[in-house]
Amino acid sequence: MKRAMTTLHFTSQPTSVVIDYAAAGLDDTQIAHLRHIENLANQLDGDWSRMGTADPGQEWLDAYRYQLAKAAYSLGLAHFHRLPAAPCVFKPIYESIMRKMLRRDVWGYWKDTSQSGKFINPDLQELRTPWIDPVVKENIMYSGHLHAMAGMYAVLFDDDRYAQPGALTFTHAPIFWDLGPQKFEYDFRKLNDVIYWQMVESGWLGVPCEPNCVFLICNQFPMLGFRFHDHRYGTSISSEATAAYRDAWERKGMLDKQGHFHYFWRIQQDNFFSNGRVSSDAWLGAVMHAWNPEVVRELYPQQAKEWFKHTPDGLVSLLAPTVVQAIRAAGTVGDASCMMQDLTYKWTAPEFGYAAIWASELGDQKVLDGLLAHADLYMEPTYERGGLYYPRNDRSWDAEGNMTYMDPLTGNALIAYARLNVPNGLMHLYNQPWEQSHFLKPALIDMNPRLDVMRAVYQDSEELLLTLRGRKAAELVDTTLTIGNVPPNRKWSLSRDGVLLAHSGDVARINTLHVEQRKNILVFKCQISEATDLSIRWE
Amino acid sequence: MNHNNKQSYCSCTNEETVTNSPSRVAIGGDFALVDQDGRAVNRQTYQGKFILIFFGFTHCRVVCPRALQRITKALDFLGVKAQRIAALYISVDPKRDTPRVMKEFLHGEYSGITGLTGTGTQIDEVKAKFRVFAKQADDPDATGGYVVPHTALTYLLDQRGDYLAHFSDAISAAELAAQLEEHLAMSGRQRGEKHMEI
Repeated sequence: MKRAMTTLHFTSQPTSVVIDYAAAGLDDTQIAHLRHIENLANQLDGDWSRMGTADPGQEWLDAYRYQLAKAAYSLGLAHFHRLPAAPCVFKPIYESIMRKMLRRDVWGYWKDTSQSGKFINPDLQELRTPWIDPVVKENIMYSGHLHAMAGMYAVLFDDDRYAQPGALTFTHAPIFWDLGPQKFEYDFRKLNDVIYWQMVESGWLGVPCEPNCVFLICNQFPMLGFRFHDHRYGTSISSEATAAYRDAWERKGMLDKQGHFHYFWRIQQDNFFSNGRVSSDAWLGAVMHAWNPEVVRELYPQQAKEWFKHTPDGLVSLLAPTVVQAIRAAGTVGDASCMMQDLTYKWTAPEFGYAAIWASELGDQKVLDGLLAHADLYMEPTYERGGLYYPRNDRSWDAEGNMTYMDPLTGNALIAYARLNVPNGLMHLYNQPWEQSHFLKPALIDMNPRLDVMRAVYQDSEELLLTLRGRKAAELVDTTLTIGNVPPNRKWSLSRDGVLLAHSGDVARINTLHVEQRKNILVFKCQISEATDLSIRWE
Repeated sequence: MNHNNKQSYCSCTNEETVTNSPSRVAIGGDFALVDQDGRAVNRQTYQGKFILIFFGFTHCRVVCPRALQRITKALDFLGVKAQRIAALYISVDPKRDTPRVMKEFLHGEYSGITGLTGTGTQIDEVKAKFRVFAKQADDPDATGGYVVPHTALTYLLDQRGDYLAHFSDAISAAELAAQLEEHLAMSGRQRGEKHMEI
């Protein structure tokens, strides 16, 4: 890392978004991923159906917090890049995810984990006294996500609700303690300060996840949170944070001997743990790329070459880490796709999903397409209530030796993230979140009942384009659509599938259409079934 | 680069900006140290003055000289107003930084800054209160064979010794002076408002 970090020059201006993904909208598969996230978010609190993990203690890499966070980021990326004029598609789902993130089911593991342990601190003589508050100290694997999620919400929806005092409150009230609830009250800005000062105290090497363990990946999420905080409140924390973090790790060294990112650093022992799996590069690379793209991009080709197994028909999966180690030991160079697979290796972590989001952020379309094609062929894509997910499968390989392992993080959120993201997607959201002018443009702010929104974009020609579809095939849905930020005192016209239906001089019931204008809001009541294009143009 | 002032938290109300601890985390507090003349000092020693604090060590080759120059220049920019500020340099290397060493180091170029040191325990306590990172690291090229990489923030406390703001290492002397002047002025306005209320 020293080499890369000291020789590269960092540009202050990111590449601009050159492709208008919003004009193309979403395809059926992407819609289905969003539907699945919506389905999960709408489950009753405490119902974690489809999200259950092999580990019973919420300690492993597919814990609820990671599933919720990645689902939220998937929503954010999809809204920002693909459906910018439809906040109502995302906002209520995001809020449900935030509510679930604050449940004790999600963060209550910390009471055990805060005691430390021999694996994470081999020199530990006795367990530490536990504490309940999940964000006051350490545990950046939870607090960092909550920080980034709350900040992303604010910049996406122009809404500071999570910055209100007590908006992020953790309530601990075991029924049989009968001691009254303990409440730990935070909000986005307070959480921002808590994390900032821990970073300072660490010399900017980062905040531990488990005690004594500074995971490089988990310290990337507060970098997002700092940036969103800056954007929202005019602070300049992210420039300080990224510069200080870069300097600290330039001294420490981020890479192992093989050129892969260390997994975590043990503070007391001052040593590194490298897990020898793709996650160390992929998970970190997918997120650090937001603020440190040059380094991630420079390392990607060499790092990626080791992990992926390519087949002649274009499918891509992962080489077992044992195979990668054998290749290294043999000094083999070049394409690893011809190497044998190790079918005795048991997958236990969301490696496939990390790889997919890495390729999506880096814009490696060949690898991304190959991974998604492999998932569709061997990982049981499943449609349920209009949603697409890949159900958990603890079996690593099928009889033909194809990777079949699927964890709930990958199956519920990471493949969705990879499909909904665009090249450099997180980087652009980090660098160029919407300015206030975006929130003054016409947009679909409510729909009842909910439809599948395939396209929602407000174009420079002062035209709002919506493509909508009912959620039940061939069934007409009476729906109410609310358009916000309608320019006052401007003439408008509404077309449906290219046919003029109504205009501002004729705001009345027309067959199956009812239009109502209230100040800067337009309400349409109409029937939708198959994919329907609606265009509202202002003169 | 001030994270906690009115410009930084642009959505803060005026009421928030004039509180003594706009950071939502407790920073600072009392300390018991020894100044460069061997006198025991604490927060009350400087009561009535704003306190500007930088943590470092006299063998520091880059960060401390840069910061001390910046603080010195900023105080120069402020002119007579600088008399309302006590600038302190607290050692994170108490083994080597005795009061005498601190005094000799600051004499001359940084004479507007007072050096503070203490026992290892006292230094650890004040570091913890200000969330300061400082850890000894071997360096064969350094005098004594080690250095002490440390936090490079500059802290501003109000006249009661409560945390007011902090500034990163990227701030210029002119910017620092401007920030300090604003805090001094805000304090003056508050005093004026209280006087009017009376």
